[in-house]
Amino acid sequence: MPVAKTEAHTSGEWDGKAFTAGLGRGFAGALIFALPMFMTMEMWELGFYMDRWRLLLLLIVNVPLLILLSDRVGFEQTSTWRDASRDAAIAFAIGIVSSVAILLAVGVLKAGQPVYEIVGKIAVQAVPASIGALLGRSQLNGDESAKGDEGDPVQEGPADYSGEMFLMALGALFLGLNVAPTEEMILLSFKMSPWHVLCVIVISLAVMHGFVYAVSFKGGHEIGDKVPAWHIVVRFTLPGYVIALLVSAFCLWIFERFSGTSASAILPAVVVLGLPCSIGAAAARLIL
Amino acid sequence: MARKKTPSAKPHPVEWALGVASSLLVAILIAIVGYEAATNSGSQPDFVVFRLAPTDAIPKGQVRFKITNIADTTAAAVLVRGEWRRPDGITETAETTLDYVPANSSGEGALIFSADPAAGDLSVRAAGYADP
Repeated sequence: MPVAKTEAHTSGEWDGKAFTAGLGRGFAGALIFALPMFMTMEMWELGFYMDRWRLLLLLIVNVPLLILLSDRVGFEQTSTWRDASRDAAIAFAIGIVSSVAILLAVGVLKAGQPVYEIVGKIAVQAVPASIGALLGRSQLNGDESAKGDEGDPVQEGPADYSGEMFLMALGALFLGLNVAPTEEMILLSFKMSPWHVLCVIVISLAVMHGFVYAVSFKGGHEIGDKVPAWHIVVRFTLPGYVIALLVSAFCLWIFERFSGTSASAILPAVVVLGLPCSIGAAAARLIL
Repeated sequence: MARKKTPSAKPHPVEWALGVASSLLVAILIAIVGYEAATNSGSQPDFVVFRLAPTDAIPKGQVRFKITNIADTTAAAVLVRGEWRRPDGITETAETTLDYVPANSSGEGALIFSADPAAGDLSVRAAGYADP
């Protein structure tokens, strides 16, 4: 059960208030993150046409992602992998429950639909919702209990290089997942000429670099005076863009946007979705 | 809250390795798209349609087809029409629309006739498209 304080662990006391607050944040986070997807037609359709092996893969890949996320962000501070796994399980459950609730409320799920379809719709939506549940703590950090260690986990979390890259991937998922299932992604890629694609690549890189490493927003990075700009480009901006493109490609593949399409038609779609992904990656510390 | 000064002046070699690999990848991406920009002939959609061999999994009367767009431009709302001249002389028509057939890519679908069109004369062709 989510217990907000480490002291509660040691004393063995069950802090009911913190527990409910944690769950509440989880549900709120799930809604904020996944509501756009609950209300996207393509996501309902994926529920019945998505290849079941791909759906299974998505559900399985989600587990380590949630555990890692729980360890880095989570709805509470976790000290052990056991705690993180437990919170990940709770987050997945929150994702499923909120998917069922919202899909029932908006009439996407109806009695009489085949089990295959109902399960598919819930499973597809539960993945982004569970990610949202774990982001609740950082998204809705209005914590008045300023007992020191309850600050924004993303803003103040450890910032080693791998952590930085993980955060970028998370930010990319955060913005990318919302638009990835829509038909507009592939439609745009069909409308664009290669010159447009080149333009989008340049814009993505420029915005990405500008966003965090040059403009210095709150929560952005302050670059030490001794570090030359091209260091930052090679060490952060370019790897960040590659991560954004990988996340983009993964989302498009999961949502079955590639079937029968040649590489020359896939690439523009990856670049198009790469734009929101790269902005999400660059602004991870701002928006998470 | 102290701001982080993440990028340190003395990065780990792994950071450089990843950075150089990423630079290469992005350069390759730009090169591929650049090459396409340079070689794109702007040819309008052109289709090759052929019938897929019937199997036991395909219900009688269904004709599965594969349509390939061999041009550099994507076509939307591609109408595929099959005409079956039955042995009794009547012509039966079946058609379907594919949302997209991207450039240099293919799509599959099926036409449904009232009976197995093994006997008689069957032709399947693209009958129209819209620009996306």
